[in-house]
Amino acid sequence: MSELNQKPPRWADRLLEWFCTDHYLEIIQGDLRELYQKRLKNMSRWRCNLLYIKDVLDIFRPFALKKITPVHQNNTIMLKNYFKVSMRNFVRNKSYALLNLGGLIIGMVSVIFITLYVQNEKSYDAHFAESEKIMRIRHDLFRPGGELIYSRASGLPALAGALREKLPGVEHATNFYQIRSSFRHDENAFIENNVLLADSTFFDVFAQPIIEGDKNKLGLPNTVIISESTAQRYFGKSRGIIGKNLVFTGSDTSYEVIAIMEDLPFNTHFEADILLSNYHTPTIFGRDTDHQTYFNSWGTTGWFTYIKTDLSLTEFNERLEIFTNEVNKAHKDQRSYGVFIAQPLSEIYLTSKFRDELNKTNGNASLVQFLSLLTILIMCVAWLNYINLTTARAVERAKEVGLRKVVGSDRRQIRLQFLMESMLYNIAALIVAVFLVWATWNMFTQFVDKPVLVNLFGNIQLWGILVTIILIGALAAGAYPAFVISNLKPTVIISGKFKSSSKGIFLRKALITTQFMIAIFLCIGTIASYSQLKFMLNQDKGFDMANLISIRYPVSNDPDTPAKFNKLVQELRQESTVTGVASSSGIPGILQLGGRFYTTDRIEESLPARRMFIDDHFFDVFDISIIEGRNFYINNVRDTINSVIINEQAAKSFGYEKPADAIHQTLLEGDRALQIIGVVNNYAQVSYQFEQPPIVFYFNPEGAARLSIKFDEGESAQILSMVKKKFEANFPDSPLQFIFVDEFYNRLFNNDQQFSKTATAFTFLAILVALLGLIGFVSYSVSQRNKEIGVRKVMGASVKQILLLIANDFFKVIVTAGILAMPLAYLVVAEWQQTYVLKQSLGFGIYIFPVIGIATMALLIVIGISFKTASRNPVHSLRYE
Amino acid sequence: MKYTQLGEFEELVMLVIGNLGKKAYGVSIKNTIEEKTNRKPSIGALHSALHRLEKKGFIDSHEGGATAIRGGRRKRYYELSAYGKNVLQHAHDLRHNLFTQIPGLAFNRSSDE
Repeated sequence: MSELNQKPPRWADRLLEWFCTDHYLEIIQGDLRELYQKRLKNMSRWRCNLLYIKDVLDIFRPFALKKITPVHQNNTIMLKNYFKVSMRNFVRNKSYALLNLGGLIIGMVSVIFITLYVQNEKSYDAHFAESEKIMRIRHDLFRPGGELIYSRASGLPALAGALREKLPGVEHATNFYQIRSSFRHDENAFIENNVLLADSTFFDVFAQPIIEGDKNKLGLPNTVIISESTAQRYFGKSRGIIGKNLVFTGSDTSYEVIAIMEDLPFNTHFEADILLSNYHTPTIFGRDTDHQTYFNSWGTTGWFTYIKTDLSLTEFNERLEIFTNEVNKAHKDQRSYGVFIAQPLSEIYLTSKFRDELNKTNGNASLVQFLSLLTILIMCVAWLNYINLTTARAVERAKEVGLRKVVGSDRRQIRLQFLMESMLYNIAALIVAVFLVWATWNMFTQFVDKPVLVNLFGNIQLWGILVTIILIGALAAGAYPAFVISNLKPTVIISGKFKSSSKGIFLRKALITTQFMIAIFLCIGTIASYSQLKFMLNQDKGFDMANLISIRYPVSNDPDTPAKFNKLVQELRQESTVTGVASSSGIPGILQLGGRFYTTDRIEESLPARRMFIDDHFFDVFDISIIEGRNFYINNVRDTINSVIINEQAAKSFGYEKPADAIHQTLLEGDRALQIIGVVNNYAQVSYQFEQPPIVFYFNPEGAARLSIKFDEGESAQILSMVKKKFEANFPDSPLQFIFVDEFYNRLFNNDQQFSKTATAFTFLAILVALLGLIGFVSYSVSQRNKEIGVRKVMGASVKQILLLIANDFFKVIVTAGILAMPLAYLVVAEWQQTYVLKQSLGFGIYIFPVIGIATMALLIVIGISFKTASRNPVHSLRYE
Repeated sequence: MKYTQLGEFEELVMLVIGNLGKKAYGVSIKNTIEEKTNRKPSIGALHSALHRLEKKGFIDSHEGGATAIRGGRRKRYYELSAYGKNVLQHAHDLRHNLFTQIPGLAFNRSSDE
């Protein structure tokens, strides 16, 4: 009958099968079927279906539901058993267990270190009270047409005051300017690099605790506040020195210490050892105005401005826009207008990277993000490892599981057992990991190169992360093996027919492939970053910075200083180990001040360029080549008056097609007419990450800020002591400040170097974990194929052929991993390279090489492990057939 | 013997089971109830009642009779147990007793006159 073929909706049936207890299922379903067929005789199919569904839903009553298994009374006892069994398994298969554990440990150690590092980086400036309310206001300068002239992290002298008065919502505002100078008290004299010209409003914004004294007087004439360690340096103690004097050698003025403040912790984006009253700013800068006028001007940069406000960032920015417009209207300048930008304090250290930043290592946000990602990757690899090894071992545990099921355990209990086992693994790994971290703590701090929050145990965030990891590891990673194992059918196992399913093998291969994919990807990335770094460091910088020591002009009030200085220069030139001495206002790596110039044929438009004051030895000492024209001559009087040399970039920006065209051309600066007598190459005055600025060199053999001394190879220690002796002989007041130019310059690449170092270290770890996984996987696979290998040998296969057979399998895995990883890596690397002005064209080598390298290592492992089995007498493997 | 309470619907079901004799199972019980009383219990309600009755021991069941119409699934036949019969009798007696003591109803017209 055709009606019999019409069935009620399948899903309704399935629903019924799902909730209905076995006792009633058959008869109820039968009844429903019967009713359905009977109804079909009188009603439409559709209506019958509807009624069927209604009936099914109506069956959903307590009596018909499947019983949830009642809680087993012997839970706690079973847990003890699970624990015992886990331990026994661990002991019996020490090598697998250790491999597994090893992977997890490595993963967790990385997580701990990275988390601590990231926390450290993110902790900057958070120690200030109400730090979330603090913002820095920086400025950009634009030409009337909208073209950007410069961007600065600092503000202008009048900005703080104006913000305080004119912008509603600003609770407090302060600004400071960083100077370097030497100070003296009795016999103690030091050069201080972290001196801030400030007033008491500093403490309104940055509530740095005061140990002794009254901070409110800062800003009055001749007042100074010093940090604890500074006090220690000058006075030998940090208490009871209120009222004592500190002499500011720059102007030989005496300042009274009115308060001592706590040292700023290392995780602050600026340093402040001495807060000098900004009352004397005009005098210090050599300006002929008074304090009031100076701080009402919008004429200079370098004043770092901070405010404290309750407003949200968006609200504040709205008002800031209005404020900016007002300021620009009031100070209409045809040549430029300014834009003010607010930076929340918490973002400064990580993201702010302007040329005049107070802290040169700002802007590490990408490294921080990268590390966070890296840690997840490594942990994933470790977890994949765990899943792989455990499921592979399922066969060994099959008999145990089968027996348990026969005796009456249900799947839930078995799952619980294996989840517990994975929990044990994870906890054990954590304990060992924490111990390792504690033990290698010093190595870590050295590697990172700064103090790290040592809050290993009280660190809530860290432990929160670790607990989450254990939970995910134990539950998620452990769940899959638990499910797989609990689903083994006891009948199949005990009858001896059990073999790993093909689906299982495929999954395991997929896992191993993923592990290697991650490892290869990281490898490529690391090599890319390393070679980019090397490329940048090895760039022909156009000058030679080896064997070069640079010292600063002494800070002294002695009117004889210039004369003495020249004498020193001559003396140094006589030394046999010294190949050259040059004086200049700056050296490569230190940003120079700029000026504006007009070329004679472009009178309307002024062009910016940096200014350097050098002597006639400068280019020689730094090995900068003069590509057109000539160097300054000391005997040429005109040279000292108005000759200038420019660099290639300047030649280009001043509009000369070829550098040669610039020779003998006139440049106007203010009302000075300068003649270009030479052009030098675009040596790297600033870090190679940026474009080189145009530079104009003036000849000023006497007004130097720095002396650069080139010496013979290998003489650095002797040179240093010699220079120090001579210097201190001539300038007892002023301690020698020196740098080695190559070290100094390379520090500009600090961020990239850190990045490369860290990436390398963790990639190494990831590869290690992947290889551990491979070891486990291979040895297991090989033992599975014991009989197969035995049979092959009987049929005449040689050891080599067996090895090839096994190696082939894994070779395919790695090649697949490589093929999958390469395009991904390519995209990421290309994206990352955009951040560099100078890109190295990375050849295909960096993609192929890691794959080959890892493949080789893996192959060696595979061969090493299978060798024993491959060469074994087949009698042993086939004995029990 | 303390006889447990019998719900109205349960009693109905038991009566129908008694009437159907050897042929009492889910669908037949439902149909009979519909025929005789114009009530239309759902299969769910019916089986729920059957479950209760079986648990209380008033009815027994045995399986049998798979047919094509049921997709090859068996039926469960119900029949009154001895205990069940007793309970039914007791309930009937109780009602009858009380009923006959009500003045003014059809049976007792004679007491009026």
